[in-house]
Amino acid sequence: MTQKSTINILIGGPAGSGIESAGMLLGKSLMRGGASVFACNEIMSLIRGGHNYNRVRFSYTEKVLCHDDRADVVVALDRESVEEHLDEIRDGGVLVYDQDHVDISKLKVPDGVRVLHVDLDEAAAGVGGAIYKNTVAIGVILGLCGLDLGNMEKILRDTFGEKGAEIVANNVNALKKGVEVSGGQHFEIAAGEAAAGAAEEMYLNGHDAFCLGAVKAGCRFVGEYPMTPSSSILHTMAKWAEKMGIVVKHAEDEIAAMNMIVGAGFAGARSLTGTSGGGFALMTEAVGMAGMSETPCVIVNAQRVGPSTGLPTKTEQGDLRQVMHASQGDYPRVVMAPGDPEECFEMGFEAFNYADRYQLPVLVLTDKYLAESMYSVPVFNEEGMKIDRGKILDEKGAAAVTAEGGEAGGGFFRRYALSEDGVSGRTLPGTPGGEHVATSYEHDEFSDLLEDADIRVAQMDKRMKKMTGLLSELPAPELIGEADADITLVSWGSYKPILEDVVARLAAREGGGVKANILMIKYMVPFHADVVGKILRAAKKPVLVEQNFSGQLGGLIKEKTGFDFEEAGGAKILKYDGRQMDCEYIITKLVS
Amino acid sequence: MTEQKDLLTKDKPNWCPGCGDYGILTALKNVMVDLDLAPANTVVATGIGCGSKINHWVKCYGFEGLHGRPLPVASAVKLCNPDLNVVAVGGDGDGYGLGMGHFIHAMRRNLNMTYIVQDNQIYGLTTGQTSPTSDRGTVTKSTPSGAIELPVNPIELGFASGATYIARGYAGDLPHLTKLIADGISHKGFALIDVFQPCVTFNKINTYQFFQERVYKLEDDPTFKVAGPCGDKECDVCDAIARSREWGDKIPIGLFYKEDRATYESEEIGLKDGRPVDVPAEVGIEELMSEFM
Ligand SMILES: Cc1ncc(C[n+]2csc(CCOP(=O)(O)OP(=O)(O)O)c2C)c(N)n1
Ligand code: SF4
Repeated sequence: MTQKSTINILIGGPAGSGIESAGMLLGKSLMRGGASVFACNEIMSLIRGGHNYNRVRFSYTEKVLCHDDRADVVVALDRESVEEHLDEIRDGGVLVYDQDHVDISKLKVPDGVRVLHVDLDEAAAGVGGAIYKNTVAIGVILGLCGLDLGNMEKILRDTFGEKGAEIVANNVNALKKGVEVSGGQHFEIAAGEAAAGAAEEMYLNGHDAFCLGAVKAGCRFVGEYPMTPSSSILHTMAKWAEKMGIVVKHAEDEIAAMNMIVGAGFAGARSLTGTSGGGFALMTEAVGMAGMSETPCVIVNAQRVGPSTGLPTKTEQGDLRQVMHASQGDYPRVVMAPGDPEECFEMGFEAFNYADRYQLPVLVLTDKYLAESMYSVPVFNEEGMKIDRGKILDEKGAAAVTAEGGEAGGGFFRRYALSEDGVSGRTLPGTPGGEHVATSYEHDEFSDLLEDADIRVAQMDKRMKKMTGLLSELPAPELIGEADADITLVSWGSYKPILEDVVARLAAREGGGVKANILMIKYMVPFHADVVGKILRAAKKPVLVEQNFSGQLGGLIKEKTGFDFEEAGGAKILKYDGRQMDCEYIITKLVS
Repeated sequence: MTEQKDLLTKDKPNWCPGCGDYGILTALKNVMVDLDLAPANTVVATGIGCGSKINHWVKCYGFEGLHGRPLPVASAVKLCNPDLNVVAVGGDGDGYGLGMGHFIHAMRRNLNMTYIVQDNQIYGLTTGQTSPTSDRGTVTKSTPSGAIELPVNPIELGFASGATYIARGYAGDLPHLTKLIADGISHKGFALIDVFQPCVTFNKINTYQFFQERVYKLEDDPTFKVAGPCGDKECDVCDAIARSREWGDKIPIGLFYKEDRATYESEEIGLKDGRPVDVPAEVGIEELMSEFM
C-alpha cells in the first residue's frame, strides 16, 4: 500500500453499542502516540436503537483540524452502517464487517475497497464475552494501521484498572485478538516528528475547553437544565464541583436556571448557564433582566437544529438572531462565538471579565459540532490571564459614591450612578453602606422606580454607552491567511478549523493552487462594522459559509455594513441538513 | 444593633392607603430589629406585583426581579453566599401562578431561607383579575361570570413538597405576624409564610372585616399540635392538613408544621471549602487539564 499521511476511521453501529467510548479511547491513545487527532460522533436522539457512528481522523505529519466525510476504514457493526457508509470508503480503503451476521449481498462494494470479514462476536467470546467486542474492534483498527499497542494498553489499564486485573487482562487480550484477526496487511502511515511526542497535548471537546476557561475565570456557580448539546457543560462542571468548589445546580427549568445565575451574579459570584435554543427561549426574559439590572452573567447557547425541538443531536448555526435579539427592549450585551477549543478556552475566560467589567450578560454561541467533537490541542497557556472584576466597591468605595450624591442623595447609595463609560460602581450583599435594590424596572440612580422621561433616557443612554467601550476593546476581526487572495471565506463559530483546512487544500490543489483567506466573525454584538466592511469590499470573491438556512451572519453583515455577498459577485454556501460540511464539500462548491 | 432608623429608605411606600402590604412591611422591619439582622447582610428578593416593591422601602440589599421568579434568584443568592439572611417576597399570583414550579422545588430543596407570600387572592398591580387563590365563583375583570377553578391551597402544597416550616399569617395582626416571620427566619430551613393581605382596592370579599370575623390562632386551640415529620399512626400531619383546608366561618392562622431537616447548603458539595462569592485572584487549572492528557 502507498504511504498515507492522514487516516480516517469510521466505526458505525446501533445506538447503545458503546461506539462513542470506543472512539474516545482510540482517539486518546492515538494522541498519546504523538498523532494529531480529530473525532466526532453522530448519534440519533435515542439511547438504544438507531444508527450511530464515530469518526476518528489522525495524522503524524499534519495538524488534523476537522472531520472528513470519506473514510479509509469503516468498521460496521450492523448492516445499516455498511449501507450508509459504503460509498464513503476511499480507494484502497477497508470495510470491516461480519459476513455471518450481516447480510450485504444486495450491496455493491466499490472496486478498490478491500473487505475484511471479522466475526467480532466470536472474537470477543474467545477473550471473555460480548462486552469486549469494541476492544476487539479497536485492535482490528490498530492492526490495519500497523500501530503499536502500547498506548492503547496503558489507556485500557487506566480505564479499567479499578474493575480488577481480570477485566484489564481480558481487554488487553481482546485488543491483541483484534490485531490478530486484522490479517496482517496494513497501511503505511507517514511518521512525523510529532511522533516523538514533543508537545504536551490534550484530547478534549469545545465545551471541555470552555469549562476550563470558565473555571480559570473563577466561575463557581452553574445553574443549568439539561438539553443536548449543552449538557456537557453541566456534566463537566458537576464533575469538578467538589475539587474546585463550584456550586452546580440542576435547576427545575431553564427559567429558574437563568434567574439563578442572575441571582448568583448579584450576590457576587461568577455565574454560568448553558442551554440550547429551546431552553434559551425560556431564559429570554431573564437575560433582559440581567441587562436592565446590570448584573454580570455568562450564557452559552449550544446550537442544534431548529426550529422547535428540531433535530436534537444534529448541528446548526441557526440561533444567532435568537441570541442577538433575545428579550424586549434594547440593552447592552456581548454575543461571541468561539471557533475551536483554544478560542473556547480564551473566550470562555474573557466572557467572565467582560460580564463583570461591563455588568451585563455575555452570550456565547457554540454548536453541536464544536461542543461534542474531540480535538487534540496543546496544553492551554495560562500566562497573562487575569481575573478582572471591574468596579466592585468595598465599604469605603460605597461611602464615596454615597457622598457624591450630596444632600439630595440623603445618604443613600447610588447603584446606578451615571458615569462616563456607562458602568457604575457595584456593591455586593454583605458590604455595609452599599445597600441597594437591583431592579428589573427602569429606575433612577438610587434604583427608585420612576417614570420621569429624562431619567429614563439618561439611564438608557448610560447602559448603552457600554457598547462603545466594548467595541473599542473587543479584538477586531482579522483575515486569516494572506491578504491578497482570490477567495475570501466568511464564517463564524465551528467552521474556523474546517475553513483553515479548506484554505490549505485549495493552495495544494493539483493543477494549480487557489489562494484563499478567511474572515471569522468572533463577536457579533457589538459588531466591528467598519473593519468588516473594509475587508469585504476589498475581497475579490467573498464567500459566506454558514450552517443555517438563511445566512444569518450574512444578514447581520448586510445590516451593519451594507455589504451584500451576491451583489458583490460573491457566493453563499449554506447547509442546514444537520451535518457539518467537510472540506471536500466546500471545495466542490467553491470550484464548481 | 439594628434599629428602625437604619431601615429607612429614600422613598416612602406608595401602596393604597389601608393595603395589607403595610402590615407585612412593618412586620418585616420589626423582625430585622428584633433579630438584629444587619441591613448589609440581608437580601430581600421579590418578583413583580404591588407587594413586590417592598424591598424599596426597607433598607437592605434587594433584588426586584421578574414576575414569578423571586425564588430562583433568592435560592442562588443563598447558595453563593450562605452567610446572608435571604428572604423572598411576592404576591399570590407571582408565587402560585407563574412561580408555582419554583415554589414546589424551593420547598423540596430546603435552603435556609424564608418565603413570604402576600396573599390577597387577587391580582393587584394589574388592577384586579382572578388569582390562583381566588375562591371559586369570584367575579373579577378576567372572570366576569365567576372563577370556575378551585383555589390552590399553598399550606397543603407545603406539606406535599417538603417545606420544613409552614405557617399562615394575617396582615391585620401585626404582633402575630411579626412572631411568625421572626420564627421563620430563625428556622434552619425553608420557611413558607403565606400571609392574608387584604387588597382594599380590588378584593371586596376577603376584606379586613372578612378575616377579622373568621381567623383564629392555631396556638390558641389546645386540641391542635404543631405537626412534625409524619410516621406515627396518630399523625399530627393529617390534622394540620385538615386545618389548612378550613375555609368558612373559621380560618386558622399560625404555625402548621415544623421540621428539622438538613438544609440543602449543608449538603452541597460545592460549598465544602468556601463560598462561590469568594472569587480568587487566580485559579490554576493544571490538574484539570491533566485529565485530558
Ligand atoms: C411575565 C409577566 N407576565 C405578566 C406580568 C404582569 N403582571 C404584573 S404583576 C401581575 C400579577 C400581580 O398579582 P400578584 O402577584 O398577586 O401581586 P399583587 O399585585 O396582588 O401584590 C401581573 C400579571 C408581568 N409583569 N410579567
Ligand atoms: S391594589 Fe391592592 S394590593 Fe395593590 S396596593 Fe392597592 S390595596 Fe395593595
